[in-house]
Amino acid sequence: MSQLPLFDSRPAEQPAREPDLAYIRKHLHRVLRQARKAECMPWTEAKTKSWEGFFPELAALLPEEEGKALQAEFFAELERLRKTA
Amino acid sequence: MRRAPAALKLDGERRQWAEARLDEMEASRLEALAAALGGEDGLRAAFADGELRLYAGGAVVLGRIYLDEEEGKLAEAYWRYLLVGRKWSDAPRFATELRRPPVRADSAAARQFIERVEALAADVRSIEDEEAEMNERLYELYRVTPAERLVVENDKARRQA
Repeated sequence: MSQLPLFDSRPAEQPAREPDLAYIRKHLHRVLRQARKAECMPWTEAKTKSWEGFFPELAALLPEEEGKALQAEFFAELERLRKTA
Repeated sequence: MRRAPAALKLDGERRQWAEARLDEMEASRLEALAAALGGEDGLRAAFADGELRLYAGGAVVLGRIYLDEEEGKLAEAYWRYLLVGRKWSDAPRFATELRRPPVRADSAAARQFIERVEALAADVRSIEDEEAEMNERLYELYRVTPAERLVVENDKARRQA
C-alpha cells in the first residue's frame, strides 16, 4: 500500500479580499489633485499610458456614480495637459 | 531697485533693499526646490517661449529664467542631463549645478551635447516603456487585482523616492 501524501499539493484557495475602497479613493484623489495643479504632464509617457488604463480600473471599484465622476475628471485633465505639450 | 519704497532715497539704500528681496526670492526658490527633491514627483526641465522652467509633478518649481534660444536649449539639455538617472537630495548643491552649463551655448560642443542628451532621453523613454510593458505582463500573469496593484505601485514609488 502506497503512503498517502502528507501535504496537500493543491494550491490553497485564497479567499477573495474586499478591496479597500478608502485606500483606493485616497489615491485616485491624489492623482487627480496632481493632475489639476499641473501645468504640464506630471508623469512620463509610460506612466501616463499606465494611468490611462489603471485609473478606470480602480475607479470601477468605487460606487458607480463616484467612479464615473472621477474618471471623467481624470480624462478631462489628461486632455488639458496633452494640449500643453 | 525701481520697486524700492519711495522712503528709500539713497541709491545704496535702494540697492540694499533690492538685494534683500533677491535673497528672499533665492531662499524661497531653494525651499521649493528642496521640497520637490524630497517628494515622489518626477522632475522635468523645459525651455519654451524664451523661458526655462523646472517642473515637479507638472507644477513649476523654478521658472522665470529668461534666456535666448541657443542658451535656453543648452540649459534645458544640461538640466535634463542632470536629472537623468540621478536622484538629487541636496537642494543647494543641485541649485549650484543647475547654474553651470558645461560649454558656451554657441559652440559646436554645445550642439553635440544637446544631441547626445536627446539620444539619452530617448533611450530612457524606451527603457521606461519596456519596464511598464513588463510590469503589465507580470500583473496579468500573477492575476494581480487593481487594488493589489495599487499597493505594489505605491510601495515601489515610496522606495524610489
